[in-house]
Amino acid sequence: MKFADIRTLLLVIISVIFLSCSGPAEKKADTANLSWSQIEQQAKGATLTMAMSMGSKNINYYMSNYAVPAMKEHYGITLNIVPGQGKTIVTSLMGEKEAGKEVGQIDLCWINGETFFQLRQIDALYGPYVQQLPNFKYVDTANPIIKYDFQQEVKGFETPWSLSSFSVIYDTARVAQKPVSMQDFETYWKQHPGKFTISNDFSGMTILKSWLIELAGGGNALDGPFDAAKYEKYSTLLWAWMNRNKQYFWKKGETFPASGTVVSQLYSSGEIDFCLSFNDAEVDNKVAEGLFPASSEAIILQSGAIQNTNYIGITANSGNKAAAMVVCNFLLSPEAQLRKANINTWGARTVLDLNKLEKEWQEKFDTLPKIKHGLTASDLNGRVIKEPDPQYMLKVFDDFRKKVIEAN
Amino acid sequence: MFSKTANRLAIFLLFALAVLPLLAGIGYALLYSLGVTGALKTGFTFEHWKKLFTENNVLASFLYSAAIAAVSLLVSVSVSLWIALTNHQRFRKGALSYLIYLPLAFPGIVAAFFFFQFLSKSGILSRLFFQLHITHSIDGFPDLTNDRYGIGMIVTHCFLSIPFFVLLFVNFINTERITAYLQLSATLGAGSRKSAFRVAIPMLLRKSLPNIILYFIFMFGAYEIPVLLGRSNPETVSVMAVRKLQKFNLLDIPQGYAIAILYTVVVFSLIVLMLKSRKIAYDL
Repeated sequence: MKFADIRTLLLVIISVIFLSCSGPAEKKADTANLSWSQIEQQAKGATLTMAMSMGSKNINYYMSNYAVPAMKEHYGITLNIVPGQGKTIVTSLMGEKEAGKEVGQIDLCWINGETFFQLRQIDALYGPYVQQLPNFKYVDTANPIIKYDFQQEVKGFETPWSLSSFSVIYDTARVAQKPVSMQDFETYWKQHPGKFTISNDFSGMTILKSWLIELAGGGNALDGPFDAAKYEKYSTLLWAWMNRNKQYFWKKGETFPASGTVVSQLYSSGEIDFCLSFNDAEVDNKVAEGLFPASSEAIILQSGAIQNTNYIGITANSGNKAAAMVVCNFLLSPEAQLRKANINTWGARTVLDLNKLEKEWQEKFDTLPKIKHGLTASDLNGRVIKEPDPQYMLKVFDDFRKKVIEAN
Repeated sequence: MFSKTANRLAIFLLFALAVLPLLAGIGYALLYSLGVTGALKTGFTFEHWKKLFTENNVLASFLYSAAIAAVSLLVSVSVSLWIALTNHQRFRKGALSYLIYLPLAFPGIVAAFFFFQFLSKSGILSRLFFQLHITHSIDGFPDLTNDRYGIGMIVTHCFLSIPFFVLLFVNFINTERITAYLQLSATLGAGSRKSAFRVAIPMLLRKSLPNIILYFIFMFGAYEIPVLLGRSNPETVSVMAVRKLQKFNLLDIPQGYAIAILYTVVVFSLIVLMLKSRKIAYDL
């Protein structure tokens, strides 16, 4: 190999490095002043990347076998789904922002609550754009759970996708009397030590928040912006209660599973009697798959069922925001929402107000298979509560570690 | 001429693709931990480092990770030495020579899940004990996962590392003519026990010291195994760093980077030690 060859080789290597560093095609203009047909025109042939949790086979199936082909067929949009949720998305977008990258890797992300709060903190979301989506007219905008994401007004920066309610799942064959209040749980734990635990993640923090709300008086006691004095008062009671009772938890409360998946696994193998869920159709799906006993049911806690909406956000540095809006609009369509609400495909509660739909669609929603084991719409009627301000989540997560886990 | 240019190219590539990104990463982490860079930067401050040491059991985490790695290595190296010295011929051909590679093909996360299913109170072993009437209920089975002594983690680390060390030692026994030395010591009157402890084991350990140190670093920084089989408190270093970097509070990220810097310092010190020990090993 001569020196000239090596120089050529070097040139090739350097060009490859530079090419791989450069982002996708040119950045398209913002969409605020475009009509919907102009937006659709601009979206044609785009390639988009959507980051979302891929932890459920039903969700993955819905996306890869329905949404992705539909986007290709109707709009010529190539939609790539990549795994990523919560802080992974935030870290990635933060990194791009810090590097001054104008066109990022992610165009769409599946988010809610604290991720929305964090992305707004670093100004990484595009908007407001939601009102421009033709299918937004069907959304149940009167529902405060949809209008406010963890107490923050959405203000058109994310497209509502589905509603999720928090519940505790238990086995009626093993638990004679279902516990609802904190007092009921305490009684159960003392009689059945080692049969309960919570995960040190989102779902575990949600049951702690539910108990915090119960201590504060239930319902909407923690609504509004973060109140440090209120938090101090009720969290002190909560940690004292947890520390008094954790000896009756799984492994004597000396350790807590890192994720809700492990808690579900412990429940399905019979090691514990309860697990936590943020998916309305989870009990039915898992019973159908044979993972959970058929005697499983869901409980609404004394304080109510914390319900939140999950949303689709468009990143501020997306290379084709018009195409991303077309995807959001499709996912909001009655057809896509109907398919998603079916417990045999996914079972995610719709964000659409059925009264705003045409008769034909209303009938289709009415004839969907009904939930048997999980929480039904009538169970939830009047019992739904909003997520408190995201600061409560951050404080609960920190203090649970400092005041309970490390207090051993 | 060619080899000189090729060498330069190799050094350039090593620098451009390995050293430079690494140094840039460490520099970035350091600046981040000092509040100089990052989307939510506050300006130069030692606050994050102070917080890390005052509000977290960071020292306990480092000691705990080191202890788990050291005990796992001690068990794994001892068992591997014993297997290699007593059975080294069997690994040359036959079923064992293939089977030994099997655990090496397991990724850490799969092995961790397997042992979680196998050793937990409602796991396979516990069910077997129950069927054999050794235990009266699943609660009678001892705590082997997420347990106080890290047994689940140590067992998993050993499962993954024993085949590696067995293959390494068997290879050294063959290439370093250990059997010839053993025969020599036998003819000089040493018993088999004495030959093993005074001749074979010291030679094998000295020869494999760099590999043992490298494996220590690997176990010290393991993530999947402690996240599934470890306890919430104390946490291993990697679990703590990931919690700081990836959980809910964005303002914890600088602390995550500070842990990464500390981890890098520990690993670099071990690598320096390894390079020195390699010199010893090659001098032998």
